[in-house]
Amino acid sequence: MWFNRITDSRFKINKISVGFYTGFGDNGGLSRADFALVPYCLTDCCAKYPDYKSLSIRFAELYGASISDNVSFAGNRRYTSVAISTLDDRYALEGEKLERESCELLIECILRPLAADGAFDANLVRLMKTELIDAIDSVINDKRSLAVRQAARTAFVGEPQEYPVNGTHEEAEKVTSESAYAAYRHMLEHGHIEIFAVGCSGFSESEKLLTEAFGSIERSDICEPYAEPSALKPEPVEVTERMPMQQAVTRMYFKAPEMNDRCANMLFSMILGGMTTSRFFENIREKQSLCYYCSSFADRAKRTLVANAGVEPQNVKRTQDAIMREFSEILENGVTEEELEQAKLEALNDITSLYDSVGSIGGWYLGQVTDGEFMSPEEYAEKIKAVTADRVRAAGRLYKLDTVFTLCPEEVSND
Amino acid sequence: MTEKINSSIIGESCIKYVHPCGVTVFMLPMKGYSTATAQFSVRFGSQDCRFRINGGEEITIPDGTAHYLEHKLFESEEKDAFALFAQTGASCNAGTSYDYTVYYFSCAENFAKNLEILLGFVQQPYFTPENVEKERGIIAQEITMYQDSPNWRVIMELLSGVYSENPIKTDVAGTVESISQITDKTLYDVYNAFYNPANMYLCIAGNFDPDEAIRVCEKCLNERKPLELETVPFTEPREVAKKRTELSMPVAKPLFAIGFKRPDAYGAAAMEEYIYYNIIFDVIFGDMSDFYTRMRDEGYLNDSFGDAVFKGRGYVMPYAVGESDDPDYVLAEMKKEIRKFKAAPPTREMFSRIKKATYGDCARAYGNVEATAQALTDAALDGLAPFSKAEAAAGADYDKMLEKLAELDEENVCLSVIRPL
Repeated sequence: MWFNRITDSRFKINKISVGFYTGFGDNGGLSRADFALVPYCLTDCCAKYPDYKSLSIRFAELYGASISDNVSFAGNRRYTSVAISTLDDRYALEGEKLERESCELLIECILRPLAADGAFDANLVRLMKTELIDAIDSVINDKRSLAVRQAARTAFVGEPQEYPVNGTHEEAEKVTSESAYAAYRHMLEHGHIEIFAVGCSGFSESEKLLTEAFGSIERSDICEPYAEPSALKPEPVEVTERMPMQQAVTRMYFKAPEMNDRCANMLFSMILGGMTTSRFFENIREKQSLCYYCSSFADRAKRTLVANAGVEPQNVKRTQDAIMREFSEILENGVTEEELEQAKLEALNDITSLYDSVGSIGGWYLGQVTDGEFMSPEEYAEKIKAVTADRVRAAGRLYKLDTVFTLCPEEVSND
Repeated sequence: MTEKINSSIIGESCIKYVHPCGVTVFMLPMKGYSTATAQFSVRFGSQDCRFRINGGEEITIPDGTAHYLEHKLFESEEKDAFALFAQTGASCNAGTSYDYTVYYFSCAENFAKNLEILLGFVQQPYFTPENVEKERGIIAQEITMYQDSPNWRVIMELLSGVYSENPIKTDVAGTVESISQITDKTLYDVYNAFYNPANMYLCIAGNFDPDEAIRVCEKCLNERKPLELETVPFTEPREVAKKRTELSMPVAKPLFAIGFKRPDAYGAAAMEEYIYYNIIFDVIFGDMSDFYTRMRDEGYLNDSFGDAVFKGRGYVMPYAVGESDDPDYVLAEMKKEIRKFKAAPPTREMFSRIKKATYGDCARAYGNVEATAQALTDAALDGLAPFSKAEAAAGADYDKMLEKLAELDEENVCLSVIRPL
């Protein structure tokens, strides 16, 4: 278990998150949905506060403390976290010890859930299953999220990201009180645990409480975090799916399994489509008025760059061609010194901004757990400054088109 | 001249400065922070679609004009605002709502230079037939994108169901058809009418030097001939326009939004309504309520359910949103619950607990640079003191809450539903 502490007097709040890294292998027959249900159960109640109402009352007493959970991909692992965020003791109107009390509450939720005899409470699981199924199904409500989910089935075939991290509707239907509890125990006993405490407190008391609480668990065969580049297909694959909607969403996946220049890769993505002076923004949005958004981002863990845009259905092909043209243009002629300087300035601005938010600075370090090594924002800034235009171009040249996915309105010709 | 405004409750102080041209500036330096944010706002949003200048003829502008103007103001004859900010590394953006438009940047360095750029581009419009035409396709795509969002549509339908005359019943961005009527002349006319210094506010928070900010204001803010601007008033009926609206879209489960109509309210009265109805709705329908526990247990609601208060210049609407297989039943039960609480009011203890959480939410905002700047902007546009929201929450009173609960008309309500296809 790793306890990470970031203390800064500028903050008014304290946030403690406990994260577990688990794998997508056999896991004793447990499904993704079994693991996904765990944080639902841990944040809805606990043995001491056995229903959502009593737990919510406790949060309100702690000045609107909030508990949050997350299940996401972290490289080739599943990252499951439960976090509590509270106003600092300095702002309590009646002198309450908010940090200590919230840390104790977090421990109650994670380590003393509403469970008995190797199973979560049956009524709790009934309710939480409904919420998990609703959450899985409701991805259809957001077309961009739906496009991400559907595209992943082609872009990451055979990899953990091929299917949603929280499982499918069918898997969620099969979750039982016992199977969810088994997933919970698996997380506690075999998961790599990272605790992040970020805020204005020194967190010494929280560290003691958490170390004692988690120290009593017998743990073995720990699942270490790691990330693997996504495999490049021999030939690009193009998939179009249709549904009743007005605007098409197109996503183009470029992969570079050999990429190892993290900073140049990031700057390449920014210049291509990651800022308001990017090639995509200026040439596809502003000059051609093809779309409201057309952007790119680089997924460092997957060594994948994704370009995405929302366009009129009849302009899908034109937009894809325009994206390819911008891509090729950089590979052939490189980036200008002015573009590089602007991207660096924006990146450095973003890096400095990390320190102003509990979530951002915590997320910065958390995001590096699967890298196997940590870099401070300052170290990263120095590396960014050293990137040359040649390195950016070289990073771009490693990318090859892998998948083109379009979610398109029904009955529209895409020629 | 500057004035210092303190809040003993949240332990912050803010500097107010009024530039001779009429722009009011609020500044809150935040010790130890790395970044600064400046928001330059104008009290002009999509609801300001009919107006008179200096007592002249009534002017009506196409829906979506305020938003169109926001897009175009970044343009200039030489380098546009995005290009200028790119030279400093700042991130910049803008937003248009029903009652105001705001332009802002966030930066870790070069604060003075960035402030000069912000004040410069907002005060120097450059509209041509060509650049206005070019933007039409981009905005049309933005409008279409929102048309595909059921979470957005359910709220738009709700507003059109609650309000008959208030222009907020129409989407901020307008429609593809309405924006087709907007020309460079429309934008100049509107700019000249509303982007008047007396109608504008500059709010800054984070790591910056207030004296330097004032020096930049003195250098960059321009005097303009004052004019008498009047937004044409409308008479909004007391009753909701429609009791129910329904649309079909590709959704997994019916989405609903339920809005309770309240009389028009401005400034401190609107803030009071905002705080008390937030507390009341949290008491009756929030996470700690019997209503939420029961409805979730019976399968009528899931964790997407939430309540809030929609507030802007002249309007306050407590509302709830969520997913349910039976939105009509949810509404019927909400009405029943309000009646129940009117007959047997919440305890002082329950009120105190929710009040504490509401205050905590307000106080937490001052730990974030952007949220602090936004809180200053919101207060300035409402004509209120900078910390009025947190102070109103800390000072909320049980008896006043009972009065507000009694005033709530649970029958004056609209239900908006998006059903699966």
